[in-house]
Amino acid sequence: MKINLNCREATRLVLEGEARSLTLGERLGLRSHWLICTACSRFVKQVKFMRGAMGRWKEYAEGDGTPPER
Amino acid sequence: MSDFAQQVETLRPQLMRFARTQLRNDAWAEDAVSDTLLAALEKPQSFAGQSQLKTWLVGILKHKVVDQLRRHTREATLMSDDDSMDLDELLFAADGHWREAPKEWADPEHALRERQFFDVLEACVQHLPGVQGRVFMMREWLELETDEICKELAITSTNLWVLLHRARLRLRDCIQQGWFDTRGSLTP
Repeated sequence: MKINLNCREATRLVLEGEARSLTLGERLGLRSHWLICTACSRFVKQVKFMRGAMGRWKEYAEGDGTPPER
Repeated sequence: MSDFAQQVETLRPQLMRFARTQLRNDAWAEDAVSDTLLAALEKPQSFAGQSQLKTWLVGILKHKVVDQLRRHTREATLMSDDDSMDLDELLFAADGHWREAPKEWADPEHALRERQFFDVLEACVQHLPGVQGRVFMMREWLELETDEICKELAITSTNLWVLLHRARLRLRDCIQQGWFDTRGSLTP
């Protein structure tokens, strides 16, 4: 288990987390990295936001959601 | 033309748009949509009317899109230079730090209520290099399991991870530039 992640490693883990469940050690590593790194804390929020945005887009593009007003 | 056929036909442009985003090839998209309309017109009775017609057609189209990908596996997975570019190298310095840190996104919830934001999102997805765009959409829209995507496209799971990783990094960058750098920061 690696505690001192750098930004590149943290980013890779966040993106892997979109596809598989991270181990406890990996999650701990990320948490401690985010405590000291604003850029990566932003990054993870943005990845989550993108996931939500894809879901919303899909809902209305497929027909069961109402598109937001223009 | 029957009412049903008429209604189905009206949805063709929307289905085409959907198929193009997924397949990124006009000829394949045409085929997928034609197959869908044909299947719908052959079996109108299977449209039970509990869902919207469009939702039902999109459900059929998803299968036809996968059929197309399977039929054209070799071209669908032909990597361009863009697909294989090493993004990590571009985004991170040798010591592992961001070359340019992600900026703060102002009021992202507001973006989700703006139609124009989704236009930007769609444009960004369309700008992904071919293979990245296809696997990203298979995962996010068709919601295929990763091993299914690997099987359909005959790629390894390592390849798939790398492609998805790059697609998400690019998408983040594009959304920041296309929305948050400009409009997002102007919203109250």
